[in-house]
Amino acid sequence: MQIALLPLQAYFTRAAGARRVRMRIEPAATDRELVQRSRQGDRWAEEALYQRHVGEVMRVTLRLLARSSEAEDVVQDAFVSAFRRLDQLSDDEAFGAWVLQIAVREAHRRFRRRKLLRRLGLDRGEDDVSLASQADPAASPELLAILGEVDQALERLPAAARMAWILRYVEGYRIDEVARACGCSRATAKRLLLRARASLDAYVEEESANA
Amino acid sequence: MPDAPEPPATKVPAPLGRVLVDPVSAARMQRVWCQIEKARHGRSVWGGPVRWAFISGLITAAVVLAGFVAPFLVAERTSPGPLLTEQGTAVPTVRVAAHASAVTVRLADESTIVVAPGGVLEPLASSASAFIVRLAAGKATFHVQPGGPRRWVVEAGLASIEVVGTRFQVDRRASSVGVRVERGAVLVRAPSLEDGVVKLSAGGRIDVAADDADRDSTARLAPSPEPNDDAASSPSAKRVAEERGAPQATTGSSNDWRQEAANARYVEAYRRLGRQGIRRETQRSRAEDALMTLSDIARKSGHPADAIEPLERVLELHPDSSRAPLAALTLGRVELELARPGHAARALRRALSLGLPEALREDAYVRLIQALVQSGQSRKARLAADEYDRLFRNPRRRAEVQRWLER
Repeated sequence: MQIALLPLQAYFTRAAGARRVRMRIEPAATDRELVQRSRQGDRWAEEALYQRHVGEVMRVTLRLLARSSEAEDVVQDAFVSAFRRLDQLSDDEAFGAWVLQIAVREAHRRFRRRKLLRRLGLDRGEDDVSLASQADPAASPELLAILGEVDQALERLPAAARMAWILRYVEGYRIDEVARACGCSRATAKRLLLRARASLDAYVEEESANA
Repeated sequence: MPDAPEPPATKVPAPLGRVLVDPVSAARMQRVWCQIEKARHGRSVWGGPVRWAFISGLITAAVVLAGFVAPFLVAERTSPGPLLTEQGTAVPTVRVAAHASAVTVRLADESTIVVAPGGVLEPLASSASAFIVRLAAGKATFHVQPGGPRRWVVEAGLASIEVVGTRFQVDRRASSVGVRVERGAVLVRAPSLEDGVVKLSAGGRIDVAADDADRDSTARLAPSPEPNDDAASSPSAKRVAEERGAPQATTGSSNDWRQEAANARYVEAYRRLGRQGIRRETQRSRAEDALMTLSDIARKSGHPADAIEPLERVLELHPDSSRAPLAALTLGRVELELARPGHAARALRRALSLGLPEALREDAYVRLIQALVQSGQSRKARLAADEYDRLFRNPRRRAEVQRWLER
């Protein structure tokens, strides 16, 4: 059974009963094609989808949660869930945005849980991926200090506002992308961002005044 | 972008991502993929309803318990505030003249900082959760009280050192930073380290240096008495990224691809370079890091065939480099992806012979077995599988190996 006859980007063989089956994937297989092949149980296509989108999903999740171990769990859960529910994906081309949305929702849930545990004094985790720790090594001391302040200010924000702020101002997403990732309306996303900005600006100004 | 984000606070650049490094590493992505494979295709009763029933039970129990305990904990919780000196004043900037004697700063939590002659230490931030100082020059010894609530970070130009409780020394010189750990453990972050970070245990020593000769940064890691968990941060994975601001081989808009790659926008970087651009830059460049970046751009933008040339050039020009094994492994994976199992097997053999970090060796063996099976070398595949069985006492991917052998 030959699936495609275009120049090879990837190619492997596998036994299928007595026959050998050759599967070929053209150089720039679209998400739509990969999703369709994944639905048919093609594990290579799953891995290709993962490799294509994990960078962004992992980076966003790490920055949202600031904890590497939790972020890895979230990314894992998001992809596992996405692959299991591929039938529910209406636009196959939008796999990346969909899996990111699942990851953001899961990160939001975990963040709320962490806040609850922290209030109870039961949170033993350590934030190891703070913004300050990701600063460009060439960053000025002033910028490092500001990033430290932003990290502290972010800790005080409600989970939803923090998520929206990071997506918008750290990742540079557009408002509609923030809304899509957070699973809310554009208006709600704007409201969350306004609230977060006001809170952060006030904190940064207050810290500057105290310094 | 139609609505570029306005600055979130007066002094903060937007988006902040531009001034941050990408925290995602290949090792992390691979680790997560292994877990996904396991969750998707492994057999476990610990899944579905059983798992969720257990988690729901745990949450219910936690909520009930929290109801009883929370009022006491909340009432007793006090914020420790910023870290001050033992006199209760803010930590000052310390400048010690070259001929003066060392100055000791004693802090309220019983930590001490000894700034050696010629040293300059500036506090950057002090809060309930973090204490950040900048060693602007010279040498300082830090004795951090263990178990404290604050994350300690020492910024020393080429490297930053993060610690919880330990005794260590930082020596900032004109073109390098040395870190020596006496007790405990620290994380040293520097762009010159693979994945940007390495863990140093007691007795460990590292020297992060800027090498003016080829404008690369280089990290030299002395043997540490404890093995390092993170393969990516092991001594064999220490070679580094091209220093920012270094003179570039190309000028004008052709530099944009570097910027795009630095921001992990590989598709955009490839769009700017194109296949010819990758080839041209590969021929032009001798720096290992630039070559690795070119291969990353090709691979991560979905053009694995174009990654081969830069990877082969890394192996040709820098066969003794600590990144050579990783380059060979990547080459093997790309060749596999391109359905050239014979080439893949050779590259993977070479990766193994060059001494891959422990955490990547198992993956290399599994891929080698796959490559040998696919290239019709069944006998060699079985020999490799025997080797795999001998080397890995608790093999995580034995089932996968078996599946390949049965094909």
